[in-house]
Amino acid sequence: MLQCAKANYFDGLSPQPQTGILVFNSFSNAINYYSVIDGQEKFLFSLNKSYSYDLRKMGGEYRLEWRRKSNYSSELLTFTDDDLSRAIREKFLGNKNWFWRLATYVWTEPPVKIIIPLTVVFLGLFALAYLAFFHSYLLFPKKWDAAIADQLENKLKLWGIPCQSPDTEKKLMLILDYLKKPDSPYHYQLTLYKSDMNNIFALPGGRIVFFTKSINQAGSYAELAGILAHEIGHVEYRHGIQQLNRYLTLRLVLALVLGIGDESVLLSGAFDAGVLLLLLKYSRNQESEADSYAANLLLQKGISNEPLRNFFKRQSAKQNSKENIDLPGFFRTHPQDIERIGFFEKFEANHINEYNHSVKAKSRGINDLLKKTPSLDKSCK
Amino acid sequence: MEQTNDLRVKFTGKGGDFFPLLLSNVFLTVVTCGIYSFWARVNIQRYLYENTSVAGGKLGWHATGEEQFLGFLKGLGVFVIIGLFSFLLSKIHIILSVLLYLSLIGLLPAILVASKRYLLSRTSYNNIRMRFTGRPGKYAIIFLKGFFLTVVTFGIYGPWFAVEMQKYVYNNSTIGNSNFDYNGKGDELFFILLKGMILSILTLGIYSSWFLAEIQNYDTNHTIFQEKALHGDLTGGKYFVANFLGFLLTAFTFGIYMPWYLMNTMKVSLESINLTQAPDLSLLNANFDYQANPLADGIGDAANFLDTIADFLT
Repeated sequence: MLQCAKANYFDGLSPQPQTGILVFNSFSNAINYYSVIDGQEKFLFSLNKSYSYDLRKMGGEYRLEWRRKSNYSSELLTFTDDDLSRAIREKFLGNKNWFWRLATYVWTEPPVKIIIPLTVVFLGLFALAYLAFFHSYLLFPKKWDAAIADQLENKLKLWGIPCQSPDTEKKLMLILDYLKKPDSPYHYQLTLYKSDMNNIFALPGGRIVFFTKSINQAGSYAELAGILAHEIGHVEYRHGIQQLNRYLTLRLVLALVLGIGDESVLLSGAFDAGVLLLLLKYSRNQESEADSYAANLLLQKGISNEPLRNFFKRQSAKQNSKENIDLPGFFRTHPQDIERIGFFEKFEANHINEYNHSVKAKSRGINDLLKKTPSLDKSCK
Repeated sequence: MEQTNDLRVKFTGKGGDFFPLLLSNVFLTVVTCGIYSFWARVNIQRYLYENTSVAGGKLGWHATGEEQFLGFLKGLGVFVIIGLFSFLLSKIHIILSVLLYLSLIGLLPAILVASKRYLLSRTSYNNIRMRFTGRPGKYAIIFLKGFFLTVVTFGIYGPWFAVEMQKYVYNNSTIGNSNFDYNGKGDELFFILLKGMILSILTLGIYSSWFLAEIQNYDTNHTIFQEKALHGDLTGGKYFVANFLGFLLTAFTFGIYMPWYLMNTMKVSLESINLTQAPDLSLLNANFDYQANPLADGIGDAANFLDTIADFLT
């Protein structure tokens, strides 16, 4: 069977294309080209199967390009016949390997035909991305968490000066040892930084950092116990590693989508902005997860979360003052304090029997310690 | 080919066509653990070039993923050999190893020229390949002089340096027997840059779209082909709207809008360029660069790859 279509031939020697007719003979599996000048057809050439071919659709037309030896020159046929392009791809270029066929499928078929395989690819990629985004952090061995924290800790000196308050640290370690799981793979440590910033956070691997202002503002060790329980939740769930992994996964996706490297500063910036919003959202999810962990942990250990709620209430009152700007929800790293207070209140109310049972098992030493007000050595004040 | 009167550059790329291409690129790159990325990059560049046309003719991009991948492997081989030599020399004396690396800096102009030769030899207009005829020696002189003067003047000489480099590159970029030219002036560019930087800072970046539009128009208006200057009429407002909307939509769709963003900005940028007369096609006959090859780009790809590995390990 013969299939014909009008085609332009670009020989690579002159910018003027020759117009003619492309003929595909499915019996002999041959492609011939006939130029048409003043209505007269003249055989010009036959395509040699030993050449290196490329078939793609661009700007509404198909382009069949071939190179004879090296790539310093090539020849080109352009045409618009869909059936002819399909015949060339499936028969004339039928000896091409399956990977080539897969890779060029999107070039040579109309969008309607590729919609189903494209949807499958999209869903497959989405599933891969989902697994990578949420679970690939599991490929990081747990012993790497502390090594990553070592790298981060050097940066902390930008915000405070390390200081020592042995008595406070000893008491906090007692509470920490009481709270942590006996079989936890992490080696928990405390570090104090003298700073006007009000923050306590956990680095991957179990290092918990206290800025001294937060200790000065705590009403009791019971409040700090609640915060410690929350930070232990971050460590045990490996939230720091998860965030790092998610950021790297998203950046890798960008590099893959644009080939090697990213040449557009604006595009990268837009993508980074989207990534940041997404990571902020997941940061809030992780804070909720850590709160949930803390609520359960405090319950098991017979410690009321009321002091923790009081701590949040005081923080919330300060944030509602005129000096503070109320951020829109999607920019927040933490859920709103009022949500957190409500969560802890409801949790304790729903588990009051278990709490009463756990309280009885709590040691007197811990009980007395939790009631004390934390104070720092002069060097840390 | 019927030459049309349409001397304005046309860009026909669409986000809806680009998106499936990007998706298949990502999929194939992931399943081949990155090897397909060379073909992916060629696909993207080809899509951008072949959707660009002017005066009835289309641009073309003729690189292949295979040659770029082989170039990358050869580039890796070059680094392995250099590493081996450096190791052996360091056993004799560390200073020899240092001298080896310093001497390699001298190869940089040759690598840059080779890269331009490859780039232009794979670029075409109506399948007529372009060519870069520059020489490493002359390129090195311009580069070193310009670099030195820019450093000692704390950047002030930069615009004159840029103009000189641009002129050399354009003069040595040919299609057939026609080459480009550039008649920009360092002092004019200096004042554009100065004004643009000051206003961009004062407006916290908002003016940057008008600044970039002015730079592009200056470059276009001083680009000459077949003795006629091109004309650029990109407006800052158009550029700002395309970028601002694209940025927002890309951020809020977590990147899904990116193909449309890219296509819109390319369209706005390219369609502001037009020729002032139709090209004389009789002067555009083939003049192949038989020796252009992707080794220089392969060295660059290998360097990026090794850099990424080094960052990861440290």
